[in-house]
Amino acid sequence: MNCQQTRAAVDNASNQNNLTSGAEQHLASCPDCRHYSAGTFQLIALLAAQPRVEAPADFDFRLKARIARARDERHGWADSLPAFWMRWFSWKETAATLAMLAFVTVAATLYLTRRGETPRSDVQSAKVATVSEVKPTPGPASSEIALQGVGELPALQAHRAVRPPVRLPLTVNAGGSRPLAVAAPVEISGAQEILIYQPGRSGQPGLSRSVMVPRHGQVTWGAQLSGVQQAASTRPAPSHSAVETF
Amino acid sequence: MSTLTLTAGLNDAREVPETQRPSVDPVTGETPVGEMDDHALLEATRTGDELAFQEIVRRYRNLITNFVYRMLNDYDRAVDLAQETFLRVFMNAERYQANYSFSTYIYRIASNLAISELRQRKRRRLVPIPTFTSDKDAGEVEIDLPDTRQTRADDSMIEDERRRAVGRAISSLPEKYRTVVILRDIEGKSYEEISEVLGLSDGTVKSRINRARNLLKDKLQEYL
Repeated sequence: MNCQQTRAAVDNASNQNNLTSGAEQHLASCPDCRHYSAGTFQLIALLAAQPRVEAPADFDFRLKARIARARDERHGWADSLPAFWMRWFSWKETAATLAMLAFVTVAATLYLTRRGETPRSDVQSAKVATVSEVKPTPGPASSEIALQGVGELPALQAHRAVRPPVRLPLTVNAGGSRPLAVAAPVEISGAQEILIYQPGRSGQPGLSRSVMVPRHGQVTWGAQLSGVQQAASTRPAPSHSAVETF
Repeated sequence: MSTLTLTAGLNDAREVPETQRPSVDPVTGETPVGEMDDHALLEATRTGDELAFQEIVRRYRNLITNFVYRMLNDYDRAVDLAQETFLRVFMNAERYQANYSFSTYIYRIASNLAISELRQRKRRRLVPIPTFTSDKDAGEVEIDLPDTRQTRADDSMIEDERRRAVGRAISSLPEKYRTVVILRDIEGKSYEEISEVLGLSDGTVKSRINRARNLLKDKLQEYL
């Protein structure tokens, strides 16, 4: 055995008596390994001679108490809540309560859902709407709209359905070939519906579409117009406004 | 207030009779808990046999307390964590799988608790006051010296000092070296058992033990 193998054998042995004969032969001829071996076995003996502490006399008693506490904590909620409930309420009362809760939940859900789908028509006023990107095509001769500071905008008109229109000041920022592209940040007191009307060319039916504008919201109205449905074609567009609210 | 009793020597043989073959009571047809192996005791504990669990506690309470004490060098906390170890064994008895020996299982729980405690102390930078000294000063320690025939007070003091030095040296080891050297050289575990307890390879265990011994040789060279 060489020194490395002998030291590995010393490390594995729990005491000097467990050494292999090969290791013992090497130790007899190698003072370094003999020194290493002696130090290791002395250390092992020193550690093994360390006094052993024992558990205190009340160890079992304390452990039992601890286990009892842990059991109580584990089963505490699961056991006590139903017991508490059944102490005060019968099964019928419990079932009635659960049914009432379920009914209220369903009713509230339905109410809130339908309320969100219904268009609101209680708009009080409108202040500002901005047409930020309008690229008008060369308009037909029948164009009826003139926007302040911009000139004619033949494609953009709006109607009111029920109430008198409230005129919105508009600003057109750009022109172009597309008839309608509106981004309208609207500052209003409540949600409102804007109806935009595009008159047809040469007596063709016009197009209209409504859009709900949320309070302080912004409506971007551009490419959607390509899919708008044909509206009341014969209705003439108002001549005094481009976008009106309802 | 706790009483610390110190006795010399390695494991008490009566505490680990796991490999003994149990005998059956001819009257009741049942094996007495004292003769059941550890797996059978834990199986009985699952079914609510409190005597079986008491037997487990009886067999391992001193071993686990001593092991945790060597890890922490704090007797009161060692007792507390030893109890926590048995509590976990009891509460998780249904989930125990006999892939390893029960000894490996319970030492694994205890070593995890002790290592967790050491890490918490490291974070809090707590320095434990060795119970060995403080309890002795309070007159609450009963010490059985291994060599009772040694009557010379000087020798006794030297021996006492040597033990304290060894305890301090072990406590100063990094946690990963401390655990393996305690399991190997104080608890007398084999390399395979240590590998299973700590979830390490044999090579890592041997390397760490070698490193730990070299560190201890440096710290205890005046006693070697």
